[in-house]
Amino acid sequence: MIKHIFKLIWNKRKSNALILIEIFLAFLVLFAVLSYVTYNFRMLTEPTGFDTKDKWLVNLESFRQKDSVDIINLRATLKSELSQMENVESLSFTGFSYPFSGSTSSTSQDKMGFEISTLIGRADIDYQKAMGLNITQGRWFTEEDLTATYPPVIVNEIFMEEYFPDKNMLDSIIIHRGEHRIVGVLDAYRYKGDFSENEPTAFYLEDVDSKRTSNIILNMTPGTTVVYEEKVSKLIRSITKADNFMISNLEKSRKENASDTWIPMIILMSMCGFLCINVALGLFGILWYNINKRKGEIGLRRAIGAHSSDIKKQFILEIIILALIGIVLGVFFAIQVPLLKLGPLEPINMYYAIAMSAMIILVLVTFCALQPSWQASKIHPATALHEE
Amino acid sequence: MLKNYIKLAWRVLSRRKFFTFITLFGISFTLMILMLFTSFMQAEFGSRAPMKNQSELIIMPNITLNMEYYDTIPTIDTTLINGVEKFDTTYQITEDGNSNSTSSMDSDLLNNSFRELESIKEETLFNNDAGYDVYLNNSKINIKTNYTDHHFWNVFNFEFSEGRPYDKSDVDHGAQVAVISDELAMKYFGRRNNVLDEKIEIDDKQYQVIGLVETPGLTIPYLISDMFIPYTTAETSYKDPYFGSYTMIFQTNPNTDLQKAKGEIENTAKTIDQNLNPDYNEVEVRPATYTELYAKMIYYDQDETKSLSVMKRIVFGLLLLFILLPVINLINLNVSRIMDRSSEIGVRKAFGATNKDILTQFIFENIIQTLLGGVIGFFLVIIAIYIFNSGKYLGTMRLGIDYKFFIYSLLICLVFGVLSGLLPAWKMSKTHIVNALKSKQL
Repeated sequence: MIKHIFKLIWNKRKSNALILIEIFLAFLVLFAVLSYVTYNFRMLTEPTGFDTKDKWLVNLESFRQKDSVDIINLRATLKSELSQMENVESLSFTGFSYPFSGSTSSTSQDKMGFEISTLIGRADIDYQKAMGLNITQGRWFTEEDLTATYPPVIVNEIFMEEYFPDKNMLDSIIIHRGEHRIVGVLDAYRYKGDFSENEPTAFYLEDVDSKRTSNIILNMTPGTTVVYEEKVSKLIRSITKADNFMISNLEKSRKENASDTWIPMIILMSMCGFLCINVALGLFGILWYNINKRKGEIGLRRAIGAHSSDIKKQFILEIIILALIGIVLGVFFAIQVPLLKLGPLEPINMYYAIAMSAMIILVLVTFCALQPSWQASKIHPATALHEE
Repeated sequence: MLKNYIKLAWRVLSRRKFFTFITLFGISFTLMILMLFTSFMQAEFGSRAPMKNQSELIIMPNITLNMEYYDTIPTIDTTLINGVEKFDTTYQITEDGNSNSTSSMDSDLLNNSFRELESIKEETLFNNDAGYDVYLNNSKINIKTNYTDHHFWNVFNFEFSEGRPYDKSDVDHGAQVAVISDELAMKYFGRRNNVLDEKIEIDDKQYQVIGLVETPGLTIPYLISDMFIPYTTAETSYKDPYFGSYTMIFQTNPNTDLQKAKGEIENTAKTIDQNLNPDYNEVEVRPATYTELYAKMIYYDQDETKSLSVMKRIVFGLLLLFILLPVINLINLNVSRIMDRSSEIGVRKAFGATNKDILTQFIFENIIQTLLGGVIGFFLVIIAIYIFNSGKYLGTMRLGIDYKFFIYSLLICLVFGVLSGLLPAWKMSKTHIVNALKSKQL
């Protein structure tokens, strides 16, 4: 049966070649778009490591303009006054690695005999509580850490996996930007957004007089409105005597940040969807036309005893085999990308994309073949042969 | 003749309605996507106000300070010199690690070092990071400010609906004046005109509105600001020798090689005193063109020229596939359908039509068909652009239709039509009269 179908395909190789090219190209388009989409969806399902609901962010520009004593006083006042506010549940001072800040501070050193590159976060002892970070080993910074012999550092799990795999490094001293004791491990901290890569990150404890932590995270009571924001704004203004600060809602920032990825993705997917419809309609038209032209052949087969389901099976199998040839051709080219590491994405995304593209094309092609072959199987041998 | 062709094409189209629908659907949607793509590219990279001279601009967003740590390894060695044992020490200096910090720049650094470069016509510095919250009637207005010098208005070509930009003397004197966008005028004053000489209070200062500009329909963040203010009014008591909050954009002299100008800017950075900050020992800048920065944002590579070339390859590859696929689909359809008409061709040939005549007729029919699809696609694109613009799905970007855009689309249409018609028509014109007439469908 299969052999016979191959023969049939070969006999009509000229018109089949075009269908083959079309399936091959459709596969490549699907592969490219789905690789990107798979990558993004896999990123989306991973935890970012923090909460954004009811979190407000205050960027204080004025911190850079004061000397250390001023900053200590200012911070102390801000902290006590803000935490006394009715709707503020907790707050924390942090550096520029707050969620969606768009800034990056990184370091790369080989003091330990191998290269360690990490993103740097700076936060105070309240940051974990304010942001809802998940500690998987050890603990977050505490008051005692400020005076500890070795300054503490908290890293994320990917940091551990990459540089100290299969070792328990809790309470060990690592030499990275000086000697630091690892006091805790976070599950993740993907502060660049829902779609960002999970990168090794190290948190350093910032002292109270730091000029680097000029941002405040406010953890608000659920349901606090923008009207309340004015109160917060007035209070901060009365303390800092300056107007150049901004309050933003982290949940809103998260959505804005995510839409930067969603929009191109939706555009690409709808373009791809339209292409699929286009190809499907085209294929449907061609199949319908071709099968109609083969009435004589169908009539003859029916006359010598083929069942109508045999006819249906033959046509559907014919197109599926044709599609499979196209897919194999496509897979051959597509697989080079992950194998030769040509693309910017991780290979696993592309393998998923290859599998999904093959599935989509097979489903599409079968769907297109159903109606025409059903029609073909309904042909009465007498009418079919009469035409010839 | 032409009339005959059109008549014939129309007959053919209306004969098999389902196939006509498939064909027109394919053509119109493909053209819609291509037209949207051209419009998008035009909006992002075309020369539109206020960035008419985009191709001459070089952006220097930040400065990077590097610290290279070196390790000295002394090796004590004994050697025999003239039969006597001597100690010999060698030192090996190896790179031990590095750290770097990147930030926007200090205004004095920019003014002192990067003004009046040879290949640069004009340059502007600005800080668009800051913003102020203003609470009016229980709602919040976030005013995005842009502290700029007066060169800003020459490098960029904003359309002033009212008033004027601030000039050199305004900037030199730190005049409290502002140019605002019509969107801010709407939010703050509730109207889009007659706002000159009104006051806006931010940062405990009263700024007098002297100009009103249209909010540009671009995505470049440097230009999407609500309020432009002379940068000399910004107070900074804390100063770093390198870091600050300013970005610089250079406009090169016309016909200057951008890569050469970039080189000049990079070399200028090397002439700055490298040791003003004890934590670092090297100063580096990475100026880039707008398109390079754009590509770097999407596909990050340290070297932005590489980002751009990777992006270009991906976009062209995808575009090629997106065009090729519908074209092959159409060729496929046409090839199978054209068999229907072999008898017609046989008759025409029998009456003396040449291969060329047949070819012309079929290509003409295809062009008519694609143009029809193009018209439908054009209406679809207008609807799509209207939806995108009114829903603000693309952020601040406004898609537009202009005459260039129309010509591009028309060209795409024709290429499409000829491409999809050529192969089947050529195949058909080659058919022998006898074979063509043999078909019983006459």
